[in-house]
Amino acid sequence: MDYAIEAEALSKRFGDKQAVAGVDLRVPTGAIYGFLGQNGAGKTTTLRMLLGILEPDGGTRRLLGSERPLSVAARVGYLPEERGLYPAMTAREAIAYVGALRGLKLGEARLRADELLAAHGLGDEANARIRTFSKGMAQKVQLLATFVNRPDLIVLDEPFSGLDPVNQQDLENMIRAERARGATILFSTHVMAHAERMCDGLVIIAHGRTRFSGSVDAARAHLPSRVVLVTERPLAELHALLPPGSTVDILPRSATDTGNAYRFPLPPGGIEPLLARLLETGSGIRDMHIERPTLHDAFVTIVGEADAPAETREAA
Amino acid sequence: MIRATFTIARRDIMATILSRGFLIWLAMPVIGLAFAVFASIVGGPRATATASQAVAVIDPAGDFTPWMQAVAARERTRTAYERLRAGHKDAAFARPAALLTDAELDALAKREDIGAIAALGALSFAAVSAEADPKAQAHRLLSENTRFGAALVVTPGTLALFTGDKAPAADRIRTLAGLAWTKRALAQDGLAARVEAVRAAQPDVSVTVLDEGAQPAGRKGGAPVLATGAATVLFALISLLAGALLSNMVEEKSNKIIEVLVAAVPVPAIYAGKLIAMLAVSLIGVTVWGLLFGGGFMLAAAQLPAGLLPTPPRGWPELLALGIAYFTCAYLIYGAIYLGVGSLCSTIREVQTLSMPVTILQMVILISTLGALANPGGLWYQIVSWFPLSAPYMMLGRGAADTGLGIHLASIAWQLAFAALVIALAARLFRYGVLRSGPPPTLRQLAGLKPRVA
Repeated sequence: MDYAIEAEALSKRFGDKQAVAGVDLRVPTGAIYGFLGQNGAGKTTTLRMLLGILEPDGGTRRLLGSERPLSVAARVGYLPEERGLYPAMTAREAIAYVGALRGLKLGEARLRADELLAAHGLGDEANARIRTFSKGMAQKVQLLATFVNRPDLIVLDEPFSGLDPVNQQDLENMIRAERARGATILFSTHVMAHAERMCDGLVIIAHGRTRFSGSVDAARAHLPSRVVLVTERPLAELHALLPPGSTVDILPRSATDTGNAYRFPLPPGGIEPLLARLLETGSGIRDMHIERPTLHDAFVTIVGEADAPAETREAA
Repeated sequence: MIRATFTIARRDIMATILSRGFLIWLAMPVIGLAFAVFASIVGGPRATATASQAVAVIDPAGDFTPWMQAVAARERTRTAYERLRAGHKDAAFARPAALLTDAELDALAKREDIGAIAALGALSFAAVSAEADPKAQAHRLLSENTRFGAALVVTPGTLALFTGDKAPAADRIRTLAGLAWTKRALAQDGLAARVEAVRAAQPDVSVTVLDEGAQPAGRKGGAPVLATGAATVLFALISLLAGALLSNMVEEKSNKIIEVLVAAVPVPAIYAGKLIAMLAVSLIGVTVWGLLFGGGFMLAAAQLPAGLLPTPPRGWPELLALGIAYFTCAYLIYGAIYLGVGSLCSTIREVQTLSMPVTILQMVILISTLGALANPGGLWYQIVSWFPLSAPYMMLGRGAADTGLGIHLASIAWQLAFAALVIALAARLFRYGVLRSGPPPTLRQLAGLKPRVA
């Protein structure tokens, strides 16, 4: 497989603090990858090392086949976590400036800026100064500047923060469009819903180390699917119907719900044998469905495992 | 990298010169000059000293006043000759003023340039009709608001000088009066012609300069003033521009665009782009100020007699070229330091705190430079000439007085090499400063002798 980003055992220390202690990362070319982690997990530092803004203390990195990230800077787009543009610049000049820094000729960069602004509803604001824009508009201009050089690799650090739902959706569409063009996208986020909807793969880090790398489904597979069952009568015999050792949670009833609700792990044989037995015993089934774990659950579990003391993890 | 450098420089130049602050910055020296002119106008009436330069001569016998006036006139001519001599190399100004005879002085007084300078602020002696009590008359002349600042009462065998608040230099009047008395006495005894003949016949002392290059700078006429002025002007310019550079850096960081730049181009390109931009902006400023003040200076100079103003040994064009070269060197050295310091700051307050040591250092260096220029020769003179932080000021000062060009070429090469070193070190500081990652690098780390993390 061809990888746009390859990093192995990246590490970085700031004074007494080990910010990144061994991050492994592989992003296949043409994929959308999410880079997830708690606050302070080392996401931004890792992205900065990948892009050559910071030099790693240890480990290796390869960006678009090069070990020197700045040598491929013309093929990369980057949106840093801390947004900023020159307030006195017009939207058009701001985008063109980033294009020129990324290797475009200034005239070409201006044409491209006009094209991007027009395509994303800011055509009329092309010559307005950034200082006159709302925060959301300014952020959108910076996002457009990230795409100005038609990069092969786009790295976005918390791209959704500060955007309203409409603009978040717009950004999702922009990212998908860039992928359709052939670009590889890696973005960090706290919002699991975005990663769940968009990503082909994920990397989850905690305490500066990679804790998970794989598909969204593989991440979810960290937790078992569960069955939620609501019956008209209490089921004292439910334990006997489940595999030995299964934990059954009795769910609290709501004011309007008169049924009895249970949640338990999906049996290895699937739901059908259990359903047949319940029907035979006349349990009075009102509802029964499989509850798949969300990425949020998987993330909390993976990061929680990393937070747990070593002896607890071993016992588990 | 070069393209990225000029992309950054271009943006910074446009952003700076199109800002409102740039016009204010450009107008600052003009505003300063306007204040100075205003202050001089307001203070003008007290400065009208012309009246106080007049001395009333109360001479009942009436035979002393012509001698007094003749002596004073010749002294004015002698002083004017001395002032002009610094800028003239022709034979007419070959002899020291003190050796000139009365006949030579009378001939020189007819020259237009000397006559014009002799008329500036000179002592004048006016005959006043004597009254019955000359001393009481002198008191009255000085106590009433007349044009006289002093009164000289001549009686047989005595001279008495009365001075008021507006008195010109009493010692000078006494010297001139004594000289006039001697001249009159010699004439009365028939010795005046003989004395003049002896003076005229005295041999001229020939002068041979064995090693012109060894003559210390600053010992030639007009050079010390130019040297001090050149070094001070350069210092003022660098200080003014350093402030603008620091403000630019803080604004850059507050805009938070720096990470976009660092991800796209090498840090030295950003650093060099900013330095080049501010250099270009400052050259625009220097050109505007040069045209304004230089034009004004030339207009004023055109009204003055030739040779009155000091002239650099190799002429103004060469001094101006040296000025631009040393300005560039000083700007690159101090600009790199200030930019490195500025990258560590997030607010103007931090800028003021962190740039204070650099400003104090600059002040110490200026004082050392001016001291060395005033005392040419010796070890200290050489140290200040070659110590890279003082070399731009000192060598420009020497350029205003020195004649050797080779030493300037060597110095410029040395200063540019040092500037490159400072830029390399400051760029490392800049990388730390703009991203604020980790503890500040140590000096060894800045020098690249040790990795930042052990």
